[in-house]
Amino acid sequence: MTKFEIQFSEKLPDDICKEIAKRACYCDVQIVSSAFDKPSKSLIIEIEKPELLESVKVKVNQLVDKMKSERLVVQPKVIKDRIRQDNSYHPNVYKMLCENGDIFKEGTGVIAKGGEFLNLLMTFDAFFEKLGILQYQAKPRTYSTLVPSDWLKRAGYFTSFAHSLTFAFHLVEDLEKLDAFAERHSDNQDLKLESIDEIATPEFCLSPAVCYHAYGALEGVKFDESDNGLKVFTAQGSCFRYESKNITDLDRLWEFSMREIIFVGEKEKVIASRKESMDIIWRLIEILDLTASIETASDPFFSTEFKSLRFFQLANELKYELNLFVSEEKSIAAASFNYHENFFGANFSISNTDGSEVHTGCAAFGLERLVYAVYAQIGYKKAMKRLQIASEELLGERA
Amino acid sequence: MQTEKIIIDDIKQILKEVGKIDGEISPESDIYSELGVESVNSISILLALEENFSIAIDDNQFIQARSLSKLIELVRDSK
Repeated sequence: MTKFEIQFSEKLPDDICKEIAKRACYCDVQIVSSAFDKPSKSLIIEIEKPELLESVKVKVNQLVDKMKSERLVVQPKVIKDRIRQDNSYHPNVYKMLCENGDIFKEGTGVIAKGGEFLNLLMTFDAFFEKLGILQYQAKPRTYSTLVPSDWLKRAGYFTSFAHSLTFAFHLVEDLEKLDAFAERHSDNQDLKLESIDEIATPEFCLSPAVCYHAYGALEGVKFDESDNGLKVFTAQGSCFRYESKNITDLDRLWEFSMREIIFVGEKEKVIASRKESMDIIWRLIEILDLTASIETASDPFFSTEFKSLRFFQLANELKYELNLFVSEEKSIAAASFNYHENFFGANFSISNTDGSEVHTGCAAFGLERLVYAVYAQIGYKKAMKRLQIASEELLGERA
Repeated sequence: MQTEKIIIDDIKQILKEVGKIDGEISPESDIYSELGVESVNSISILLALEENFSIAIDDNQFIQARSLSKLIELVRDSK
């Protein structure tokens, strides 16, 4: 094991340095960890084999060159923030949940859930689903876990988020290759693929977000008068984003649950719905009494696209994230409120009654992260009690 | 001093070449949502404008200038 360091320029903002550190582990399979060291303003990379240090260094430097930008340094903006009076935190939620059996680690970034953790997650999910239905007359949907690769291609996912993709592979229909595969594993061998030719080009990926399904399902649709300028859907699904060495206990999983409320239609109505949903969720945060903030944010774009897209997204305030603290120093993004302009309307040929391309937006909730932060801050019992109060105030439900 | 017409023609040319706009560029159309400039090309357009006119453009003002007429105004004000 050996380490090397890449010094960032003093002018490079810390949030860009952190983003580079998160992407650096995708540069080479030898990288064991990558971290931004704030005091020395440097990227610290740890690799497995010292003899490969130089070749890994070249790759990481290439990535840094592509992502660093001392121009276009729009900073994330705090829209709202609050601190609870008793700002103490549970020291190790993950360990506690594993020990009491509520969480079971199946593998890296993959967990099974049960007990109170699952109950709280489902209660939050039901709250968001009802919010969609009662506030926006959202149509409930269930979407498949597999998403057509073609939809992700058209959504720009292959170019912007290649590092996060998870494919649904199967072996190619070929007797010789199938027999060879089975033979290779006849002695209870570990899974081994000998060549890319053994697998078929994947028609499907594992879904990285729920809303792509809504846009795909609306392909070619022209709204009519009965839509009143806005269609709203809500769905919950398993989402998959490969996080490489960034995977951590509960805040960065490979597979996680996402509830979305998806707005499709006229620009003003989509923007107003996104804003309203954000205000309602902030009221929920106040009722739960959580230390939190809402800030402008950008998606985890990769490599060459990072500079432009981050700049464009932040400057146009296309994404807001709800950050919940899990300790005094660390917060995690547990929800986002997104506006995509007419990007999906154009790429999926969805049009308003006047023929113009629809605009889209969504409120997306990362349920494991949300529940994790709630456990870290207030625990199960307070959360369940306050969620009931929130349901009465925000959804008009009686206990 | 460049004439107004040269400024307009140069900006149009940059939008066509760097922003990859095919058709007519009407002054008030949103270059991103209406004329199809991909957001990934926004930086390249900014840098091309700065180089072409030998000016420094404020990042935030650039991203707010989403039409040909707004870009003309921005270039004029940045000189």
